[in-house]
Amino acid sequence: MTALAAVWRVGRVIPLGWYRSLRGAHPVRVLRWLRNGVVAAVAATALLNLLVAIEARREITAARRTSQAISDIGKASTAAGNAQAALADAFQNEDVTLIGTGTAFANDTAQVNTDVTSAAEGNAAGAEGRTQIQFVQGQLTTCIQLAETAVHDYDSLGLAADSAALQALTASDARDNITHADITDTGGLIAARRDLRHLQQTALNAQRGSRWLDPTYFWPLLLGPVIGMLLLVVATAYLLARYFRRFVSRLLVSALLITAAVSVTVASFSMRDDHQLSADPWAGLPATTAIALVLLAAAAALGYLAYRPRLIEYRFQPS
Amino acid sequence: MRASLARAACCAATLGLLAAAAGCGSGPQADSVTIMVPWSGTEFSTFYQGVIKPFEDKSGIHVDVEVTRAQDLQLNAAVAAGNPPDLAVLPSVGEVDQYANEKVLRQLGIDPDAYAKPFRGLMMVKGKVYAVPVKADVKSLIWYDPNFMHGAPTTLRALAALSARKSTHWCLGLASGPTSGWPGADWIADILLVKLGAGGFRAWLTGKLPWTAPQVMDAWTTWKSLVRDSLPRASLIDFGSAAAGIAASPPACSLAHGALSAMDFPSHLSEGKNYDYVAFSPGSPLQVSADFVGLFAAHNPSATVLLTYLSGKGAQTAWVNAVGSDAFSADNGVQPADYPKGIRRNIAKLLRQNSGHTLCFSAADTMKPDLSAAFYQAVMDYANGSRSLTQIGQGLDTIQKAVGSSPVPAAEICTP
Repeated sequence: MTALAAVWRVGRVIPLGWYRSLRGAHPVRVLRWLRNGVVAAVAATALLNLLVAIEARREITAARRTSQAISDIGKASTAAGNAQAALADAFQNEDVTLIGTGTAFANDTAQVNTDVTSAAEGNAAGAEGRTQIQFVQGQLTTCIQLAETAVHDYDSLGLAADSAALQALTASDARDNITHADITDTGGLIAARRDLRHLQQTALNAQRGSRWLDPTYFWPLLLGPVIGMLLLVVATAYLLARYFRRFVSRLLVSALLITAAVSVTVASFSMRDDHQLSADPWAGLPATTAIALVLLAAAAALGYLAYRPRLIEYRFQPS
Repeated sequence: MRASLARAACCAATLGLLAAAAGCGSGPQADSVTIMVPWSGTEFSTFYQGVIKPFEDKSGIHVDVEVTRAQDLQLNAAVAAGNPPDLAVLPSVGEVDQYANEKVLRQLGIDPDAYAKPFRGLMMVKGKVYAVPVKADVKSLIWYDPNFMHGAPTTLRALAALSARKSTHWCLGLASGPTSGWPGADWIADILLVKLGAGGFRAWLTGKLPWTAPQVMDAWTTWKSLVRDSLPRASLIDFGSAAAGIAASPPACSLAHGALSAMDFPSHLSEGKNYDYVAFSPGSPLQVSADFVGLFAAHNPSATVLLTYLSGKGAQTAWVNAVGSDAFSADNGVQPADYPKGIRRNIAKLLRQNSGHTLCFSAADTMKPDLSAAFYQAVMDYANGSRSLTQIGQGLDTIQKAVGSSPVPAAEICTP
């Protein structure tokens, strides 16, 4: 017998055996299984709701930090541009031998340093991001040192003394000869800052596309147990009608509706939170979580009680 | 009771599995390596296109190349912040020694015998290998336009005679961002090497011959007398673009000094026809240099993969043959025949141990980083006339006393 045939046989035997034992089981026993299934479905809903709320909150918090880092890098870019203008202005219009690089240049470079340090706190690009932030800070230090050297050389070199410092600020990235794309981290301070912003933006996009913030992932995850519960309720209704000549209990329908309502509400909240990168995600609020858990506990109780009358009627010792 | 417990356990396990299945499954991160290099322009593009891109294509490892002229400054800052790149190119042996002693450089399992002297001895600190030479150069070269002169004068006497007539012959650029001044430092070290030989060169670098010694002072003044008319503007001219003066119409200059990588000859010029070289002062030792790669990453296996690739014969051969490349290899496995025919193959022969030249490692690259930085600045000050030679010599002696002399053992500086 080939391995494939063996797998085929096992694959057929297991569901077949399960189906035979189901057919052979007493309806009350099947009813008990259905009750357990309904309670498990409600419990799974509670667990997944909690998981989605916690993970989404974590991802949103991280994404908000990254978003703030990108904003800081943007501010640093503006300050670097101002520093460039301030340095050029100091050499053109002021006596650098007396005032050095000037207050405006000092303030702008200090601002760049502050913004990059703030951005480092929200780095979402891991080790690559840390290295790149370090590179940008190094570029800044180089610019400042070159500007100071330019002041030192001003007497002998004149206006041209600041060319190396300006070059360190404004040099553009090298280009790939084949793709003609910019090669990151190969230019001056302003280009390095642009590269850093691009890296963090890519990381932010990845965070926003993570499964806990992706509706195509969390909607099926939250509605899966509800659909499972619906199938169990339909099976219960069929069993009750066929073997007990009864309608399905209103308690069971209520349990299903409550479970579905909680799942849909949490999923909707998550969608809204993710879209807005909300500071206080509704899905993760303690009140939302508490209400959802209370409702789901009630649904589990209702589901359990819905089966009780039939199971009591036919109580017998388990074989 | 036992059956109920078993069912409850089964339920709990199912729910746990459900939660685990929902949570797991984030994909593995792509491998990447960061390497900091001091190269720009053609030097960078041949490295990137000829060496790094094929590596990325073959290995699937992304290489983030950080380019900076202020290599020393930026690497120091990154190391101090505890966030160095995975690999870094270290042009100075002083840096290799510094980072190895600070225990931030990782020891390498590479056989130093695979590399030519004097590079072999410079890979090691206290007998252990910490860096690999990935790109070598011969610095003691004089470049000239064959259309204007049949062979350049090579001896100091002939050069002095030429300069006495017209010293604007020299294409001289000292500007190089934060390391401005190094082309002059190489010039002065070459003159010192010619005048004092390998023994005097060693004595100077190991601190036995002070900067204020008459022989050392004489090297400075000799340099100034050779290039005196080119000196006033040299601080403003980029070292690479200075050599383009040879091709200007009419030519702005006709002689240049330094390594091929420092001569940014326009691409439309052809070697041998528009420019050629002679070794500086035949019979004298030659100054050579190398860019070493050191490993800083403790937990990135991809960094080791890249380092092994860069130091291997395949990458070295690809590098020296890349379009527009001016690289030379210190790897014994890369023979002169592996280079393109012409000037580059001939220069590669100078790096072989049987070339007949004593090879001495570049003076400034052998010094402690602070001293070499001061040497470069001193050249700028001397060129600009902002400090007297006596002040410069005394200043450099003070710094040398403070930071120490070359960390390289005297025997390793020059090798026959």
